[in-house]
Amino acid sequence: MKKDIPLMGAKDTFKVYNTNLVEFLEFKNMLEISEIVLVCAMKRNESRGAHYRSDKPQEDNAKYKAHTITYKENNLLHADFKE
Amino acid sequence: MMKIKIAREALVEYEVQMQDATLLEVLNEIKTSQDSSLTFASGCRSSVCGSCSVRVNGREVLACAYKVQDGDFVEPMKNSPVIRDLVVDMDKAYSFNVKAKAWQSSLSLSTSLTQENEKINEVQSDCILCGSCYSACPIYAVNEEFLGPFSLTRVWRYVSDVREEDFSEKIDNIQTNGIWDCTLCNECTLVCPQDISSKSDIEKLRSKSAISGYSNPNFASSFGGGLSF
Repeated sequence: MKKDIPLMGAKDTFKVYNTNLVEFLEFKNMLEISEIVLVCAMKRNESRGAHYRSDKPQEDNAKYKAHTITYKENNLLHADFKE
Repeated sequence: MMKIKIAREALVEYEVQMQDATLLEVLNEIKTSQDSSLTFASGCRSSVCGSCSVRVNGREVLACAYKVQDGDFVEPMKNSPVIRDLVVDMDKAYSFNVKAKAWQSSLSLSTSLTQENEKINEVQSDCILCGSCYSACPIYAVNEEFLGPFSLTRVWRYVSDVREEDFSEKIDNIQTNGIWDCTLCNECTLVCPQDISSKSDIEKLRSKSAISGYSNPNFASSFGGGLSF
């Protein structure tokens, strides 16, 4: 879907209160954020609150009682855990 | 099949294959499948945010709560400038909350609010600022500076709050372009999606004003400037 973004756009080209354009911008942001959320969830090898994984149903405070720091390197998403 | 007319720059008719749908669902359907330029405002889709108020057949409704009938005529709200299609600029309407000083003036720290106290202005606190009452109010045809239904309801909400130590400033403030300009026509009550009656809140503010020594200036002028003894 990300590949197709350059081919997409808002049909409505009016400059005032353009909800069509706003929704398209929101869609692009959602796509970016959803990938980040996914990477963070995969890296977090535990269950905590609403983040529940059936393969790791327990909390792991030793490793994951921390904030997730996420960044892009060479076009690849990374997630680290730092207190 | 259902046809609705929408007042945009020109009157536009749309046809949708939907049944038992809310107006907001119909507007979204039109926007996604027929005309992406159709512009309307919306938020919560469940009657709590007050963003989607429009007029249907001349009456103010929340688009997310109103069920569309065949042949409905949809317009933007009155008394506010249209930004585009069904979206109006509510800045001036909301500015009347500031002009009316619709907030807590002095908080009594020694008074604690009981559950009974809360009920005094529970209904008035439910206002979602949808602006339906402001659009329905006929006073704006003659007085553009009228503080208006939702602002005056909000004034009553704070005047009636037991924690308010001194509401006199608020009462003084609503004497001009305020409570006496209302004709008690009750249109605001009929269109409110939250069952608030600004008309009766204005009446309550009138009796509070009378207790504070104010009287209806309209009566004074109809007696030729007041009676002299």
